[in-house]
Amino acid sequence: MNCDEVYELLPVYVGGGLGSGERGQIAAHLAVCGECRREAALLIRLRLAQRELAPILPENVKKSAFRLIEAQKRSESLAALETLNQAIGVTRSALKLTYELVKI
Amino acid sequence: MTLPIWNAASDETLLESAAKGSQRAFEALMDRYMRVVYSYIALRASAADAADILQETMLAVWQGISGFDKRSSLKTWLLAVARRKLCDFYRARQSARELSMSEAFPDSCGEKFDIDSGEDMATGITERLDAAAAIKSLDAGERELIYLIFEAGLTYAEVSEATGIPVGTIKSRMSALRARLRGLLGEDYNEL
Repeated sequence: MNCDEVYELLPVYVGGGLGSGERGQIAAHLAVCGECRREAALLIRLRLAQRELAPILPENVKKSAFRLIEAQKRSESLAALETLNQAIGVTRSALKLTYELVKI
Repeated sequence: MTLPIWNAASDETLLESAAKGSQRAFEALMDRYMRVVYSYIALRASAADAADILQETMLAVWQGISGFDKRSSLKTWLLAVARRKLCDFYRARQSARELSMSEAFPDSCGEKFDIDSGEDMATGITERLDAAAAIKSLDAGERELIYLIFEAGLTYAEVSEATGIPVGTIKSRMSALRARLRGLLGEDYNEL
């Protein structure tokens, strides 16, 4: 990889988004290129700063999100039960009708 | 509560079970990604709004997980869903003028960041605080871009998938952004 290619990929390299192949090529380039190393150092500092600024997920927010899913799942189950109930009701009526017809 | 058995399972296994309706598997899976999704949302919303938008996002993910086609990574898909929910939120608040899914990052979701403005910069500034100050000076779209690359660990292609913005545009924005940050860090950068 030349400096231009490394320059373009450095943010992704620093963010950890590259596969091992490209990561190895960039590491090899950085070992011999002071200018790109300097750029990488800048990006690493920015990444650390970014990490410190990233809002933290409060535990209660996480729990609320999961509770909502649980409630949603419960209401889906209830709706499915309701549909099943209706189907059973229809079947029962049909059976009853058939029975009456057979009796006649 | 997430069972230990789920904690040890791979994303793939959890995804498969969650897609079949296992809420425990879903929770274990989301436990791994919710922090990055929330932080992303909270870049653009107040803490209270971010909590609501996260709930909407998780609900949409739960409802859509059986249809997740794995064409993108799970993280990219989650961030794309979060972005859609953020944009829905702003649309609902009639802030759509600042929100254009197909448009440029700086205009894409609008609002300026006002996290921790100023005070911690008063004395004893370290290198990292200088970098933090530089980041804080960026607009919302620029911070979104560096968050997705630095914190979420996405590639340019994945940022494109998550945001709908072409890869070339993302690369050129990143390049311009780096030049700006270099300027903002001034002598500090030259001392590296």
